[in-house]
Amino acid sequence: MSDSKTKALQYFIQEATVGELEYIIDDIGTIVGNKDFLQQPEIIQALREYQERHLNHQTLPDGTKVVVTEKGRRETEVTKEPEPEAEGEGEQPPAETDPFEFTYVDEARNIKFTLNVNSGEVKVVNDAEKHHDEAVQGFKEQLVESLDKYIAGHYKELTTLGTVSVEGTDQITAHIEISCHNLNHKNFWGGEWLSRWTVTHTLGSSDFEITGRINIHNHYFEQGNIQFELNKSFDSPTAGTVSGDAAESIIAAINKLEENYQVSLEEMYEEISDNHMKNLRRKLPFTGKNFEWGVSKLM
Amino acid sequence: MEDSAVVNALNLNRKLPPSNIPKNILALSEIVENEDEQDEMIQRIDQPLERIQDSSNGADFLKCEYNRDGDCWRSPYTNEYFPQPHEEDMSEAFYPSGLLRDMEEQANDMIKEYSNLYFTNPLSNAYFFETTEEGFGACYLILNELSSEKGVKDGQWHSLHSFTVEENVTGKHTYTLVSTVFLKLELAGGLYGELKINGTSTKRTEQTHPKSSKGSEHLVRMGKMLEKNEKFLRDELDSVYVGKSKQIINTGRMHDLYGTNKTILS
Repeated sequence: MSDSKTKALQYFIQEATVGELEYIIDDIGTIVGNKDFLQQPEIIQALREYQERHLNHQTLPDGTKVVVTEKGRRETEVTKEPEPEAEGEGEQPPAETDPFEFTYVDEARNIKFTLNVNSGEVKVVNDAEKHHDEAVQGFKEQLVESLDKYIAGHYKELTTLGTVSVEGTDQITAHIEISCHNLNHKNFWGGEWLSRWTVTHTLGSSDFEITGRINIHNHYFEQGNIQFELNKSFDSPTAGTVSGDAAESIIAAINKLEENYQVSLEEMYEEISDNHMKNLRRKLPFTGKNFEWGVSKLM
Repeated sequence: MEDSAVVNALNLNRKLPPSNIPKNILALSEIVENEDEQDEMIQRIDQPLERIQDSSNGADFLKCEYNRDGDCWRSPYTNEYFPQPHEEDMSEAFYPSGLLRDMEEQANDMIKEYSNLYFTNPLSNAYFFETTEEGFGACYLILNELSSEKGVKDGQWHSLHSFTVEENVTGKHTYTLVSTVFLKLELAGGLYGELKINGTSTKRTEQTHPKSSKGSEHLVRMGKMLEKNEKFLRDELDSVYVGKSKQIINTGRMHDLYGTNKTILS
């Protein structure tokens, strides 16, 4: 396949909005007549990056839900055992790895899994991925518990998953990610709210700091193609104090950041409607009436 | 018969960034390899408007398929092509004349008056063309660009109104209008971060009137249809950009003001 054709296919996958990758792959497949392009290494990479970009949700065979994140990437282990030779003679053929299969960890669920980015198949590799330090593992579990409760209380049912990963032993850096996919393709719309928070906290201390970002992307495609993208960085750390439980205090602070952000959008919507839309095109001329086409001074 | 590759390419285009239609077209052309299909696809994808200068009078005018011949575009002011082509290349080029050119000239004046009432800084043009013995076509274009003011990084409105006027079997005139609006708004504000909204929306309407032979009557009928379609699209874009996005965001994350997780919002 030519370089420019590969780049075009990568572009389609990179620009796919949340939940629409399948339709895009189908459209491409219909146009080129087959789905062989999926076998190309660059395309496989693009499929993988799509999963991570949208913090995609996957379901394990037992129903547990996990999130695919860039931080969760792990080395793929050998997935196919070499064929045993009949009489134990001759050389063993090398073990194969499936090019479509990638390994991830969802630390919040202590699970290592593989995801096949072509078939969508998800398999558990190991379900005891705990942090080696007990205190850190304990803190992480408390964060997960508070996060799950927060999500249940503040996000629409069945749309949102959260995950947590931690680094450090005493001075902890915790990555807390919230992935909300609010989709209604039957009514031609879909949107994502993705929060990625980084919290630093020394275990046992009474303070913590939060930085992070929120990325929102909505798509409406009934009679056209309308996309709405909002990106907010919280680069200046928000300082917080522990009141009672550290994990609860941290999630409460995240709640407040997200709440305040969502409220600030109300003003933005008004600004768009009352001000910018009017400058783009008024609802009516300042005369208050439609244009008088038949009374043009030049007719 | 609807060509499947073209239809699928158009479907795919609606899932790509509306902010970068030229790039989308280049990418789609990589997979729609048949040249005829490529041409059809490109013709059917509405592209944002671009301006070009009429070097004989210094005024800008807008480009579209209906005033194009090869790599030159016809100015509605002087009825000449720019960049100025060689004589030999233009033997096939279209120059409206007679009633058609009269209508075109009047339409340019009317759309300019109209757009000055609705837009802050518009450039607008109209191009008329031949279709059949009993009819004609016209394309009205409006481009409005916001100046960078407080918080506005980019703001653009492009309207494309494509008319065909045909005499039907009962001797009446049928006017068909397909209107497409592109809208782009990029803001950077302290509290909400960076906003980019980009979109296109289309509306098709049809009206039938008693047959007319007067250019002015056609122009008035077309003008009213155009204004009505534009109003519809403007309201729709406003409600989608603001209303729909607000709904999607506020039903994903249930903000305290909207009640608990159990609240169902329409």
